Amino acid sequence: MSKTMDRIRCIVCEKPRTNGISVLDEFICEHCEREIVQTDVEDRKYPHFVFQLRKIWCESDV
Amino acid sequence: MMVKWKLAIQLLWYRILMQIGLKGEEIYYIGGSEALPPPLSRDEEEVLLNRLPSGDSAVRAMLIERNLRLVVYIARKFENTGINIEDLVSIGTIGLIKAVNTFDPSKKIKLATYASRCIENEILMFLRRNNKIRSEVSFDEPLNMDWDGNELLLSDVMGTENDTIYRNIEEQVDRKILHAALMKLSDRERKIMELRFGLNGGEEKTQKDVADMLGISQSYISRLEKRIIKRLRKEFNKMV
Repeated sequence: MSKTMDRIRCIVCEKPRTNGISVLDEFICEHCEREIVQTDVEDRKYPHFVFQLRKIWCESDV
Repeated sequence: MMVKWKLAIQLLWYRILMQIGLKGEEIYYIGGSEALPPPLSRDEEEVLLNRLPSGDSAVRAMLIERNLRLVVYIARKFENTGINIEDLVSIGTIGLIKAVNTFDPSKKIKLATYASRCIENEILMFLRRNNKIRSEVSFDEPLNMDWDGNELLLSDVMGTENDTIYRNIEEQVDRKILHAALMKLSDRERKIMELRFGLNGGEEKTQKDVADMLGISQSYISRLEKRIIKRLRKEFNKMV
């Protein structure tokens, strides 16, 4: 696994953050993690989370 | 003891990665779970679950990552629903994140059992919401577009009877005028009209019934009726 130096950018809000979790080398900030947990499927924000979390599974640019 | 040390080193590694922002370039394909981290052993899971209530994000991250195979397994069961697998896996991941964040280790239930329910529930809720949206049609739904780029909307082709809106209003006005005209009649004349045509919510009666009730002949009722209707029409026309 090759490594590159990047600033930690949350894959959900796309802002550089310090605290959060790393899942399959993709970073989710604490704030977004909390929002994901509290957001219901009916919420307008939900499709955004679904779209952004696809990055965990696919390459960021895909 | 070995498990604890191994996990402690792994957790430390997670924290270092998070702190310095080292980011792997490995791509995890949904089609194959080879690249996914292995599930936790029972001992590893126990150690992590004991530390979960402390709010350590590295613990949560490891629990999420090591249960991702569960997400792929459950998401694949819903592949025939019309939602693409990337979205299903993404929705399942949301379910897993919710599961790890809301899991209560004091309840004697396995994390995998709880997480499976959360992941499946998340996907099912999404599908239900999606079906609901699909069954709703907007009046502004564009059906077609002409050469000039004008959209033909559903509301453009939906027809109603021309008098749908004012039909009820006209009826209400007619009733009011008729009521006012009836007030101009004598009590007996009004009584005959009410009985013959069931005006106050009563039953319509025959001329014979009305004649019997008022103690007069049917032919007299017939003549009276014609005269009253003529007068009512006159009063009615005066008010319109």
